[in-house]
Amino acid sequence: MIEANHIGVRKSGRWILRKAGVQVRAGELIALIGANGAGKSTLLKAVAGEITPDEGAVAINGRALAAWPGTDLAQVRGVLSQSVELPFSMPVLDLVEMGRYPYQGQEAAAHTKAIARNCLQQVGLQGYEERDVRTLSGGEQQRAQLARVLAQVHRDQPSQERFLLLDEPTASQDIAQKQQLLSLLRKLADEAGLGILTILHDLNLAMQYADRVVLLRGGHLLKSGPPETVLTPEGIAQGFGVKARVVHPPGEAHPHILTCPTAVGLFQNEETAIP
Amino acid sequence: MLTLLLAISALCALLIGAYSLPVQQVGLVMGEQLLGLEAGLPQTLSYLVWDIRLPRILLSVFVGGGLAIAGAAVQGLFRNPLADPALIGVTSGAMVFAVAGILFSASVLGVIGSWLGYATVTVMAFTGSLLTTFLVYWLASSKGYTSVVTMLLAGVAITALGGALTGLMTYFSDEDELRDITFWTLGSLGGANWQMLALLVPLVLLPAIILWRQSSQLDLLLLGEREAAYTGVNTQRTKWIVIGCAALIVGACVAVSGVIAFVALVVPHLVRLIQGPRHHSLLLGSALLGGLLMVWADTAARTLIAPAELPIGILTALLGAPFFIWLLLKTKRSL
Repeated sequence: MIEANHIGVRKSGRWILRKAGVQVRAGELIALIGANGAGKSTLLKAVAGEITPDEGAVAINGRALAAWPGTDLAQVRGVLSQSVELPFSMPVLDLVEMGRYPYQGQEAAAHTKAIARNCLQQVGLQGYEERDVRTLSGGEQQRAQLARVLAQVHRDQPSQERFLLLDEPTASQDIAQKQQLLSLLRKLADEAGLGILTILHDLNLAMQYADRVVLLRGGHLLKSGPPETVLTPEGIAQGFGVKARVVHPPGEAHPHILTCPTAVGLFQNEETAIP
Repeated sequence: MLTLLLAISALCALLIGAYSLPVQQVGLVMGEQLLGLEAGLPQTLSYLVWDIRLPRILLSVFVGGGLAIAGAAVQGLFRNPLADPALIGVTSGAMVFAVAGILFSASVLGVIGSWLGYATVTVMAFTGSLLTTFLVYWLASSKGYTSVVTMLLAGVAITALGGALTGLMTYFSDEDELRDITFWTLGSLGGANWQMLALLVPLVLLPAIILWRQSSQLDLLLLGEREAAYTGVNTQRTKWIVIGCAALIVGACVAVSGVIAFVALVVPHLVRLIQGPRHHSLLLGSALLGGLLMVWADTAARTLIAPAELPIGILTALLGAPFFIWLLLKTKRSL
């Protein structure tokens, strides 16, 4: 389990995150949502260990983040950043294999390759093994990186709870790929028991796939709970300053969120945008 | 494959020179020296092969290989194909101290100078390269974190400062000193002997092995420091190891051979084109190819205008720069 409580992060003397927190259990898919600048990425980075919070603490499987040796931590939690650029050309399979660094010296090269191929297949990039990463489209590159992170936390016989922390994994995917990607995450949570914390911009995807939604606003935790309880017209209005309707199309398992464009108006500055 | 080519090249280089030798004679000399055979060869022949050519060829192998492996590692660390160990100030530091050594070995450094004798410049250059690198590293570090970008910027600043100091000293030097300085900055492997090799080899080989053991870490650093850390790499430690080892290698090479341009930059590029950017094969390939190219470059340097000799630094830049431009044009689209 990931426990991040009362996280506060200060940047140049100003709090950009205060009293925010999130718990991720194994097998859970949690969507982290909020307007730009609400602190989603900061919270994710604090959970990932890239930022040491000025307040509060993060623990994974009962052990404080700082107490984890680097490669041990890497075996139980993988992080996908928003965009990763490679300075040199490299075959896709090599990139994915690099995710196995924490197991270096503990497994045969052929096994590493097999895991890498399997992860590529999961993200729909089978047949891309020998392609140069830098010739892939943005969306394909992102999925290749996801495959690398999947390889990183892959275990034949998991001995510990494992987690994925993803920053906007659907950003450069088309509408079909967004659904495929979230279905994959859902499957990883349900079948492999991974605990997944992902930043999402698309509220309908959050509604459809997440077990819980964590809504941030202005660096604070606004609401958290099952999607239907957080993604209400009031929740969306408070979180994003947008008027929205939540409708229940007949025959659909999940409600749909429709935003009303006329209610938004022009860009406003920060002070007036957040009531 | 490269290893074989390197061995053959080294053998060929033994035969070629201002005074070219038949293969049997060289074989006999090697037999005499290594197996203790009594071939009854003239003293001069044995001296030429064993004490002049062989150390010089081995020196080329280690200097070329060392510069190239250091270049490959530094390019990986900086995630920049244009990076060169010279960027972190190694070369300019060596230059300042070497020039100071040439100028002051008789006066200010009198005691040390007379004790070290001919090696003063070498020791000074090595010290200078290490001191400058540590200065650059220190400038780029705060609170236990070293910024790679700041390191590049500090390196550029320190290199400029080094250039100014070198220029200043050059300006105040007399005719003989000026000649020494010029030759040192143009690079030469002419001073090779077994003692020099005995000093150089461990200073190149040990750091090279340590660098090679950081291959996987360097691979992950290609994704950026953040990604590498997420995957379990101790990035601060890797930075320190790579910079330290590169400084040792390049410092030692520059100290014995002066400034040899373009090897550290071009060789890793070539190897990357052939074998891709994974460091396990890249570092090894760079070391071998660097050694190979340097053997041929030095053979050319000592034969092209024989009996005189071309400074090897001129030759590597003369050949390396157009080649690098050709490479740029050829790969323009993929860069």
